Amino acid sequence: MKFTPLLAAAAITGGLLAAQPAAASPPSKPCTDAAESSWMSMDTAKAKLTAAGYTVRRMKIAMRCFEAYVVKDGKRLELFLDPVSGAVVETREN
Amino acid sequence: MNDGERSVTPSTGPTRPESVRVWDPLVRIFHWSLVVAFIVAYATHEDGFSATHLTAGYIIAGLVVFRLLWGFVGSRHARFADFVKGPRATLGYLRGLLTRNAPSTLGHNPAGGAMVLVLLLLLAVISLSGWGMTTTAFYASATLEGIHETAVNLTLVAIALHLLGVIASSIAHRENLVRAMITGRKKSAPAARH
Repeated sequence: MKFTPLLAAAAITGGLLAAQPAAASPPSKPCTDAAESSWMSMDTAKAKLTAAGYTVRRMKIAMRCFEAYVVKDGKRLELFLDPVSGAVVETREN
Repeated sequence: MNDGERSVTPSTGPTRPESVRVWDPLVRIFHWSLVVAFIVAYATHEDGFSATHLTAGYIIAGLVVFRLLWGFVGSRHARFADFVKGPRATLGYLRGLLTRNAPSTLGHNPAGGAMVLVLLLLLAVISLSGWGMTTTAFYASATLEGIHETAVNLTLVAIALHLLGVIASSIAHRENLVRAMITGRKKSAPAARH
């Protein structure tokens, strides 16, 4: 009996966490196979996004993609770009 | 669920008759829920915007808020007034652990009490900086991420010290403090406690 509150707490905490979708973190696959020497500069990619109306908050490289944290129309987005073409390969809303 | 008063009748309860209730159920639920939520949050930090990481973070934030309130209105040994003793008493207690004459307390010892405050403060910083990164104003902010990660690393150090302290005090007072945080009960030796 004395363990009941602890079991309940563990069940609630575990249940809440288990209820979350176990989605793999994006990007699901590399954005390019091309050598890094053929990549555009991150500044160029950033300029493309800005021209497309995104407010770029932060950029980095992840899984052979340019990963961009951007805001557009009040939406917080995470974009994964092909670093050769600059095209958006994957988008996630955060 | 409430087994606190059963030992009033000696030798009939399920626990040792000489034990007394120290940690109320909410303190214990708080403690172990925090352990689970922190482990999950840490394990999912690679994808900080994942639903699991965010949920674990909100649970932690809620637990911190609860514990701050409970520190004022909770049961006797849950209250800050019961265990926040200041730097002098804290250092004195730690010195006592080394010289084997640390005074025994029924609730948190002074060093444990200080650790409660340190952990709550660090977890509050982690929660606020983490939440901030999910707002449009500070979306993915590198500054907040730096604060978030630094506070997490300090928390890992604090947890290590917390575990060392639990072991040291358990030995010094011949009391299994981990079991006490599960059952809520400690040996009673009223004359030696304060």
